[in-house]
Amino acid sequence: MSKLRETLETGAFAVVVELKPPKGTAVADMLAPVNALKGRVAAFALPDNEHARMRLASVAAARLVQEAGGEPLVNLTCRDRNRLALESDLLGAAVLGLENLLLLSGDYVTLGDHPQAKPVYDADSVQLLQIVQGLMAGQDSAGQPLNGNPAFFPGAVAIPEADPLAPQLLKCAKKIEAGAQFLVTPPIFDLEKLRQFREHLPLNPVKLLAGLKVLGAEETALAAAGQWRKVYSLPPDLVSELAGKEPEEVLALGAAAAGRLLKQIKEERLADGVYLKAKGRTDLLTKILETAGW
Amino acid sequence: MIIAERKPFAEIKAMVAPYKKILIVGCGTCVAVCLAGGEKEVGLLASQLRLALGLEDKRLEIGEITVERQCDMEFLRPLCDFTADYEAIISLACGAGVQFLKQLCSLQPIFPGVNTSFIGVNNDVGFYTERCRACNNCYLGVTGGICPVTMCPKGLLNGPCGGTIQGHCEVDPEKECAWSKIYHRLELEGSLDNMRRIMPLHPCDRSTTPGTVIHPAFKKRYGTNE
Amino acid sequence: MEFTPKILALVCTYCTYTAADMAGSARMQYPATVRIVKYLCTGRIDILHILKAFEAGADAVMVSGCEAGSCHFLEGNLRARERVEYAQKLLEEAGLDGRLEMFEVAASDAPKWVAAVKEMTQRVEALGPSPLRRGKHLHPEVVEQLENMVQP
Ligand code: SF4
Ligand code: SF4
Repeated sequence: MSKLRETLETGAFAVVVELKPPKGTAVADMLAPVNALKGRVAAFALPDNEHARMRLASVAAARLVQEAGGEPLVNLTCRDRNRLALESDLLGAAVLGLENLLLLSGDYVTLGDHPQAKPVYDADSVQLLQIVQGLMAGQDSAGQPLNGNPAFFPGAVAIPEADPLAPQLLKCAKKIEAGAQFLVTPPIFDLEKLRQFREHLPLNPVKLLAGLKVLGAEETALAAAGQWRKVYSLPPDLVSELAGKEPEEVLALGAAAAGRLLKQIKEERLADGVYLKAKGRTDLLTKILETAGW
Repeated sequence: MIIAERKPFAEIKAMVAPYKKILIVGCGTCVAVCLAGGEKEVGLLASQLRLALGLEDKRLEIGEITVERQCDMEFLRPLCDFTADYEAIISLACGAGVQFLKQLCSLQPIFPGVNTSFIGVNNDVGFYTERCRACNNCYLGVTGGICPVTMCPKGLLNGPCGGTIQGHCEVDPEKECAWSKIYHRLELEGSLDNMRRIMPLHPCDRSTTPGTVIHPAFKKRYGTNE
Repeated sequence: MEFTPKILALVCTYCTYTAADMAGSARMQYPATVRIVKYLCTGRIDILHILKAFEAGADAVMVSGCEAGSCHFLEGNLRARERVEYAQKLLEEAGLDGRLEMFEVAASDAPKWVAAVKEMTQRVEALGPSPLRRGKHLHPEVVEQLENMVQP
């Protein structure tokens, strides 16, 4: 059983840290937080061409994390692979000992750095979860038997601040039906939103990881200029606190804010864990954990 | 109908540069409605070419003709005698028409004068939007009459992605999220259960190209061969 | 180079033609560079008519109708303006810029007509003759053709 699963199932609070796979083959920076934090956090997530920007494959990166002694969480999107490739990559992950999966649709191709690439989306995230269920039960998506079944701990994404929320909730229910064991949210800054969202979730054992993010200067500037267009909102107080400051100061203040949120989420048990996005930087991650008293 | 857009003039001009005598063939159906390749556009293109080449002191003889539908043998056949006199042909039909014209009538080089855009609707004179990707497995009956394959850029079948912002699509903020609309329609229709069911993977093999459809009556009379 | 511009004016009968007629009968002085083709309404002017005029060697084409809001057929002149703008784009692509313009001249405004003709004439003088003229004058058949097309 994966360590992440164990953590969540025993009811312990899980801190997952997102790493930044490099654009290129230099992996030292990506792995730095693993070396520094592997004893302190539950898992390290490896985004899959995040924001449709080409980077090191998440499965390969996850294996490196594992070799460095960390517990990896492989992200897999539907954007870049058809069902054949998804399934064989999943088997690939399994034989490398990678169990934790975060399965997503994936940001659209034209928003990334290869805008002319062909978008795939052969499966959607619900269908991908079903594919994973099938593989675990010994069948590929065409119904053919496997020789050796993989074991996975699959999760999916949920959007607490979705507008409209109703179709999102409906999709969320399908994800759970299709076998999602845990849900990860986009960054949350207003915990009231998280509290409200929790009430919509079924009382079954699906676990919730709340997203936390250290804002950068560019994002803060965007928000200050009223240009914020994301699936999560930023509290005006935070934006005015951060706007106009030096980039490093923005990050430091952002890390402290994330740390305070982490602490509160844990204390009030608003989620079963957190998913930290801090540009893959050890110093920022450490600061978050310290602020939270983790 | 099929929506197309005329190719940039410079591109067309470059295509026909080597020739002295060309025929421009318009199509009187879809591309005429979307103002890209009907009789009128044939006239405009011919005139534009004559002006442009005249300015360069070149001579280009241009024949102009428009048939009802270039995707239909019935209308193309009579054209074949006519095309023989020309060194090259510009077809302003959709890609299907261009190919059929070449196949049936033309031994000389053929050039497309339009870019074929999509299957869509005529919202207003000059305003066309896509509606169908011809996936050959229509879902409209369970999605409130809104195509998830086409209207959602990701072609998701089980509900919205995580990118919807205030009911608009992450890919193009100008456009509404197809799944927000589908939800709304189904809610009004009282058929939200459609959306609660998990839709299986799409049978992509149904739209393996090039597609063929054989009507049962045809099959009965001639067997399966074309 | 000395040359007499040949300008084709496509005008509506209600406003611009009346103004031009008045300018003539009042013996107002203006360049004899314009050949007028009368339409019932500028809304009847087809982009092809304009392009054909250039093919035939016109140095310029002016389209002139009623002032906005006073078209006899409500919005024929607005349509004409849109078409003129589109034709300007097509001409630009073909390499002929600046030789097509739209004017609005009310029936009573003979001086405005005179000014418009002067303006267009000066413009053509600056641009020089249309390269498509090839030394010839504006083909009379084209003008005739246009006239036949628009007059039953
Ligand atoms: S589901 Fe969409 S793409 Fe498929 S046939 Fe129907 S309208 Fe066309
Ligand atoms: S926002 Fe809506 S329409 Fe756009 S990709 Fe996501 S689900 Fe599809």
